[in-house]
Amino acid sequence: MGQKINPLGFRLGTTQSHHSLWFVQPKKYSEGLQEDKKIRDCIKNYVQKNMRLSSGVEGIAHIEIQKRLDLIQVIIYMGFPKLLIEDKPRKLEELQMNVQKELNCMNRKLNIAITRIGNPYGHPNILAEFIAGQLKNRVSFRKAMKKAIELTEQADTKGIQIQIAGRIDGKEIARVEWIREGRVPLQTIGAKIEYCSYRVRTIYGVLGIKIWIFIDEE
Amino acid sequence: MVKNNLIHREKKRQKLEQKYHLIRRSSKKKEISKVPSLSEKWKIHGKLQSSPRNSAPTRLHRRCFSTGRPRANYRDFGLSGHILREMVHACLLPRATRSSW
Repeated sequence: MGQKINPLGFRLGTTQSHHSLWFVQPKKYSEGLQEDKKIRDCIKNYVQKNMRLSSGVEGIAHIEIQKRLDLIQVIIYMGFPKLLIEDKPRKLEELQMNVQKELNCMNRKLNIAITRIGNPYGHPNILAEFIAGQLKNRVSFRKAMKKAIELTEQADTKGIQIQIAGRIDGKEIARVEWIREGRVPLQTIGAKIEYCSYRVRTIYGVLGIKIWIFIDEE
Repeated sequence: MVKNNLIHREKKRQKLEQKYHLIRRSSKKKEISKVPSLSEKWKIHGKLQSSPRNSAPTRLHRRCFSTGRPRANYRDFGLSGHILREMVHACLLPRATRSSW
């Protein structure tokens, strides 16, 4: 029986780059990791709290952290950065203050930047949040998946595969459903594939959503 | 996830160990070996014993910093094996890659 390895981890040396880029003496590696974790959690909680007031989909794709001797650079890749940019620049500063309090470090400056992703629905994290919202509102899962695929076809992608597992439609017996459009060559290391695994909490339990998007081939 | 009180117990031990670290180290190495007579050795040993038990470094137990798991921890990362694997796949550990493909 085969089990699929996470395509991001599979391609780490070649087509996939790391989301944390820094160098530290090996003894301090775990402290660096703890700092990273604090930053990421802080940002995600802040975004979740504030986004609840307004529209549904927040859409953080991923958070890149680069550290140097005197500077920590955090780049947030977002699909819909309206709430953090356009409303008031205060929110970015609030975020920065929160994260600095969490970190307690006076040696290093903290700099948070937000980058907008062109084609937000070409990124699996944002798509997964979209599907999650639909499933919570009890849309039939086939419709949700097909709508998601339509959205990706507008963004340029060469293939997409969506898998939903769990108590689909609230039925007692859990099952796994998946569809695929185009081609998704998981065995080809030269193929750039974005992957996301997302959990949705519904009233019937937890559904797992996995999305593979085939972007490019070298 | 581990109970919160177990994680806090570890933190308590870490604080005490830091606080008593120098005192313990000084009485262990230099004094006991230098002093010739047995009764003086007993005195110094008595000082060692009087410091609280939780200040002993042998009582510390490493835990995964993200889940608090007491077993299967790696000192290089401070993480338990399962979480380590998840984080490697999520590209969160700088320069960590697979060695097989």
